[in-house]
Amino acid sequence: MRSGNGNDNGQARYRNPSDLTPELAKALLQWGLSLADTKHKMGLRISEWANSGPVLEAAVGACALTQDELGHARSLFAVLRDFPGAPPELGSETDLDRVEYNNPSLLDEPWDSWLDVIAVNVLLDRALSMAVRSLRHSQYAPLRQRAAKILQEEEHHRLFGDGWLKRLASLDEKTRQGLQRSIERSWKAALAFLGPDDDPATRRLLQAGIVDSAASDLRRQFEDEARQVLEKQGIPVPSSALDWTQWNPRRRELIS
Amino acid sequence: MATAKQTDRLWQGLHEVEDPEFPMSVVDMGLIYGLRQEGGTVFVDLTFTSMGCPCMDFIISDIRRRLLREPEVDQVHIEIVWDPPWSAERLTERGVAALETFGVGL
Repeated sequence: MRSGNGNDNGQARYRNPSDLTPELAKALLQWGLSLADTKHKMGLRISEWANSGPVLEAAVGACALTQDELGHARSLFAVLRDFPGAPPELGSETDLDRVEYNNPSLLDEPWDSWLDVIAVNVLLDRALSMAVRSLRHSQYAPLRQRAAKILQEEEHHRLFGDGWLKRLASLDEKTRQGLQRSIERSWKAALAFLGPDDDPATRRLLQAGIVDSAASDLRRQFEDEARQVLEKQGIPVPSSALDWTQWNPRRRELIS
Repeated sequence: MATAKQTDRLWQGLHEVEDPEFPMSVVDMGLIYGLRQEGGTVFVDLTFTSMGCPCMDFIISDIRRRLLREPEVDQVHIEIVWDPPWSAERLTERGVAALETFGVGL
């Protein structure tokens, strides 16, 4: 079995890792691993709420989100496992043997509250979708065709998360304060994931047409969209001032 | 290249492969994007309803096994296609009717 090239991929310049220069392959592997690992870990974290959401519909929704995120990760791992330097554990169908992941540490440990599930869904997951959107016309055919399906499924995530945000924001003051704390953490993680302006990996991918947006453009798109979502519910928008000297390119986060 | 009659037989064969989750074939589910035969090799373009579909391996295995039962078929290449993404519009009329029978709304 191999993955198909789908629509418009006749126009894509690259079809497999051997079409890329070593530097470009390395940049794409690192960028792709961060995206796939973050989706994988996000799926695992959300799965912990599949039998403990605040209401039955929340738990069912968590199941669906988990299935999608793990599916996206699995599909991306399949693209990356043939790259030179890919972790050998990626050859495993289940990826259960991985020892090192490239995700923001916000996803390393179980969350205390459903508020974190929704904040991550509304903000960090939205930022991941911005990154995937930049692959919609990618010159790397296997990523271009996966982007279409991932974005289709992510539309449902936005409906779920934004709906829950509205519901939580209308509750008591204690809930709103907790929600604000969760929003602050996820806002920072989301912006950091999209990277600094001078991120050499993203810049290299942009030059090769593998992504179609610079990190600064993705952050601006994210901020415009997420700001509207938060303001609509009367939620204060956190500061976007980040100290990029503390950026960890492997985890795509700021070291605090 | 295969004759139209041979290709029809392949489609008929796939009509016998059931989706593991819904009471209809993978054809009526709209999962088959392309089907052709060159010599003894059949090429299938296949999609899934969701990237997290837990039945992917079952479906791939069932399609391969059924097509290999056809005379003059000794290899099956299955290509997974995600674009255009599957949607309910891919269901055939028979597929829509089957879902309605089982109370699944569209």
